[in-house]
Amino acid sequence: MTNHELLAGFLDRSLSEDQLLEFEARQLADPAFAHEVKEMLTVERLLQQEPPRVDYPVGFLATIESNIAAKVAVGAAGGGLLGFLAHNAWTWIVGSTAAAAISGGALYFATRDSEPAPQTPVQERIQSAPARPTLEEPLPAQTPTAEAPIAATPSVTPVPSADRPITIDAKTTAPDPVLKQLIVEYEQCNTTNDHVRCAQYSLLLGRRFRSDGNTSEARQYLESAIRHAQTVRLVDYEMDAHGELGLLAKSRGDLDGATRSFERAIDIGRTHKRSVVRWTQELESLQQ
Amino acid sequence: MPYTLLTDEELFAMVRDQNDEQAFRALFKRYDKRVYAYCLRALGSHDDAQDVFQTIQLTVYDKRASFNDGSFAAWLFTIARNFCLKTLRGRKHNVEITDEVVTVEPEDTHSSDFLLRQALHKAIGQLPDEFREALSMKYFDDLPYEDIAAALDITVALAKVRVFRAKKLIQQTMSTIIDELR
Repeated sequence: MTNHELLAGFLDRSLSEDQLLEFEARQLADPAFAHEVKEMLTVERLLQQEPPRVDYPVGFLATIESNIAAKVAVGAAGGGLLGFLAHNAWTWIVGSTAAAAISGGALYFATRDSEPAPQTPVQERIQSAPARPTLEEPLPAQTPTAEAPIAATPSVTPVPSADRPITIDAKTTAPDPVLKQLIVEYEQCNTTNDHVRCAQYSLLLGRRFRSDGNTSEARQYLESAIRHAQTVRLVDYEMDAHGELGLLAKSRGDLDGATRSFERAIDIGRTHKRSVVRWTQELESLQQ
Repeated sequence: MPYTLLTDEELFAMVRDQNDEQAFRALFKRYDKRVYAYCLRALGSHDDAQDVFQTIQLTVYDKRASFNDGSFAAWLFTIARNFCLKTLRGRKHNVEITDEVVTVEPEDTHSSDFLLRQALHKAIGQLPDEFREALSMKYFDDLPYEDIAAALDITVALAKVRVFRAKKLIQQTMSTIIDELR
């Protein structure tokens, strides 16, 4: 082996015992080599102790993390959330039918209230895990209950600070278990200032209320979605929430409001190089 | 679930196959600073580093299906390197490590180590690109030779040679100051 091969092996700690002895012998025999080894050890020490210090843009890194985490969650929602919605609706239908057929609604409801359904392994994992569950994981099955429908009009409290939760006192007038579960999820993430999830849930809720014709609730949630999305710079959600507000205004016959909202959605989308086809088409349909 | 006990590859599989958001966050936190520092060293400015970092992270997610085996770190740094090179080619000039990239703690400013570190950073900046890249991956990104080789698309033996030659060039550049301060 050459001196440099021995030196490289020594620095990488890959020399055998015999090679180490050879390495030592060569240093004794060659003072210039010994000097070179000392200097290389100094360089090695400096490299190992002193990586360049970087002023990390912590906020930027957190924003990127949140943005992509949202994509991951939406990826789950692509199949998972639809599956989740379908699953819950199906559970509701099956549960209602079975209960009515076997023992009547009241007995069924009473039983369900007193005996919680056994947990699936996934549900157990969700409850035991310290982290938040992902949208992909099925939420506990919803069954209709005899409890009175929660009736109220949602109200949004303006948020003075981005760190404070956006409070929506929203309760649905319909005994819709999916809607109720979404509201529960929204309130949970709101208490922990998880703006990514809040943006997702409030947008979903806004869409849902809009399609149900609950204009006021839809507007409140869509405006919340915009605020959450702005807080964590979720451009796609912000754009879509404006677009949904446009659809809402359109359904009320407020064409000026719809135009403004569609234009805002398109503006956001174009600024951040997102597809604005849908909102452009909606805007064009208004103008025709 | 103890995400900290999972390997990079296990976490990424959970992201890819199960859309597990927490797995993504755990994996992101393992590499965000290293990849960002890599971009900053390669590109020399925070603005460019942020642009490329964002592109890298989105690409990793969008191309998740294409990762099947091997080292996640090597795959990640291959993507990072490709985007950094693409950006550098767009600029058509080389960027050396700058004061913006290297920030030395002020309390060390009067020690001999400070002088040595300054000389080290200068010497690193003078290295040929391929040597500096391999050396940075080894010492600053903390990658094993196998991952360096995969990221640079070279053999492990050549990765070792490049790192050693980089250190040898640094030693030659710093020889005078090392002797003076000894």
